[in-house]
Amino acid sequence: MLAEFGANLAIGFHTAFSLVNLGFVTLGVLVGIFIGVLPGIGAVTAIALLLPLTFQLDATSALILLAGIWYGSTFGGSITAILLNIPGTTSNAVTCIDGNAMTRQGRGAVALFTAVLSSFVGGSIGIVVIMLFTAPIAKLALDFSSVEYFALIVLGLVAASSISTTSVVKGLAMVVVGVMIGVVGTDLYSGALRFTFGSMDLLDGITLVSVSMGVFGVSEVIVTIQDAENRKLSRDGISFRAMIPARGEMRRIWAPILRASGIGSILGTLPGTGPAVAAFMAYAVETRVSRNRDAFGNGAIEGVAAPESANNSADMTAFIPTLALGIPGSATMALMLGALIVNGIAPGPMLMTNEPELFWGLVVSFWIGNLILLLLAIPLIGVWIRLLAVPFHILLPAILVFVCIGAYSVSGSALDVWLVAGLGAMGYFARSFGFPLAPVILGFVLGPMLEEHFRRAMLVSRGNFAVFVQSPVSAVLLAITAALLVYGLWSGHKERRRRLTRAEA
Amino acid sequence: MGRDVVAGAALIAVGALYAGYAAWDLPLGSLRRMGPGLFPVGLGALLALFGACIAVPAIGRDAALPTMNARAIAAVMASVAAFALLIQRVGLVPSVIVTAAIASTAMPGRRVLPVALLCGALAVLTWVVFVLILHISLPLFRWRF
Repeated sequence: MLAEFGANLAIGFHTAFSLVNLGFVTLGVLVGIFIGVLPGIGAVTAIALLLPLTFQLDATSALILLAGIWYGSTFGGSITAILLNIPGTTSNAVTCIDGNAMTRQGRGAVALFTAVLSSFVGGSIGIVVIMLFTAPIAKLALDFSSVEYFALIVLGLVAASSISTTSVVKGLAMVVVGVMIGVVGTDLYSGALRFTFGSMDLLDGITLVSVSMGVFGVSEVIVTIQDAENRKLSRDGISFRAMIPARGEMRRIWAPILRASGIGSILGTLPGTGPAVAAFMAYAVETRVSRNRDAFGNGAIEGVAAPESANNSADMTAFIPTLALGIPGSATMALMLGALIVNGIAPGPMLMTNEPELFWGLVVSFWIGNLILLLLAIPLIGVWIRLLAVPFHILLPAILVFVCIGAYSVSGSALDVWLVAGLGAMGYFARSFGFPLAPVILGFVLGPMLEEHFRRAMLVSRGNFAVFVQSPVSAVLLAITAALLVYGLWSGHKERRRRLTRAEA
Repeated sequence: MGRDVVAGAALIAVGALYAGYAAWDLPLGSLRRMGPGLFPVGLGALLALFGACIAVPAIGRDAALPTMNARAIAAVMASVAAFALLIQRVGLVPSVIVTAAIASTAMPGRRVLPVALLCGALAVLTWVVFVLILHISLPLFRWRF
């Protein structure tokens, strides 16, 4: 067991330390910090934009690069949260509270150092969790038949669209829209052409790049134009006199970092929660249990350490369901899974056994990436801050040109570019009307699997729905799904009630 | 008519159209042996159901319709559409310049010279990144209508 673990680690180090992959992890982390610093462009959008470029790479390098962007952006977002009170990504929203308060007290540098250190420790703990738990979870899933897989996918979709969104029904509606888009193309069972309207370009379906670039890229660009018109940046309060926290402070942040990393590791694996919720939960827990809880909100160093270690460990463990089961818990992970599928790698419980270089190389690259964050982030902070000054009227045409070429280059089809425009408009309207967009991507990626497993289950059970409750695993999964739905509807109802009574009062 | 009523009604319409087209175009089969049309019909029905769940409770106490930046939407859509129209007809460089120029009109107060410089810079940059570095075969110029 231990020898096997060592052998696997050796494979991982061998893969991750190749010159090419070292280059990609560095590039990924740098791009990630860049994206994180730029407000308005989140990690999902950045990964969606860069996805077509990774089609030229092999699967391992592609994933190493995309993963670097993912956790790099979470750290990059903390820089702007602390120094400018602008969360670069949603995972850093809580960091603003105490981080920016520390900046206003002239201790911004200490806050930044704390964020880097907490990210590193949180990330490292998350990596250990991945190493220990991915294989056992994959082993559990080896006996799953279509019935259990169907239930698991339903649970994933419902959880991802009902937790942390304002309206469960709106989230579910967007899942269905995503699945609908995924139906387009040739039906694998019968060879029938579905919703292709005679177009040859649609025989293989709509590409993931068109969907993600349209739904996230284009719609986000339009929203950011609206925000950019009424935003002015203040760039005061950046001083680097003292980077290193006082010794007493160092001792105070260890316990919060460890608690928050635990919370982050658990919430990262669950669909629908992810790093933003993890950061929020870790902060909330610290305001209850910390010995220093009265200082929270006024520049408590624990208020930076807790969310930053939680979001980074959640970034890491989010890979567990994606790699162990082939079921992503968030839109970003769905894109990672898409990158795997495009490279011809079948996701699922056999991935670790079939592709040890991919899995272990990726995990070891996380560690290298976190180390690079630690080493590169601090000396370059001045550069990151200057990036904020790039005006959006320069970024906007650049992003759109990039989107168009990226979508076109996938298969040299102008239809893909038209789809980007159409899906972009749809995404923008959906967003303006209060619909979440992440479920669209999840539905799109998981939709074909959902249908396949449903049809296979129906074939085996001769059209009897009871099969989904006769299997104990499936019954439990669907019961959890039902409980989540009821809870989501109930809390949404309560929220609406409260808003109504407040409006009447 | 408020926000959720409009959105719910749109979902009902899309769901009904989707299910209707699938039912008309594709064999449904039975639950025991599902045809290619059955799953899409179910999806359309489900979307319409969710649309109703959003619209009906909102009747009479709905949020206001969202305000939209028509100029930004039009400029972004037009710039992507221009690329789709042009790329196979005139090649990469003119397509990038037109796309970037239209995109620049999305925000007010842009002047001609900086925009022209930006468009030129983007044309060079995309040529370097996509053609030189990534070896994606895109003709730089062509004339084919």
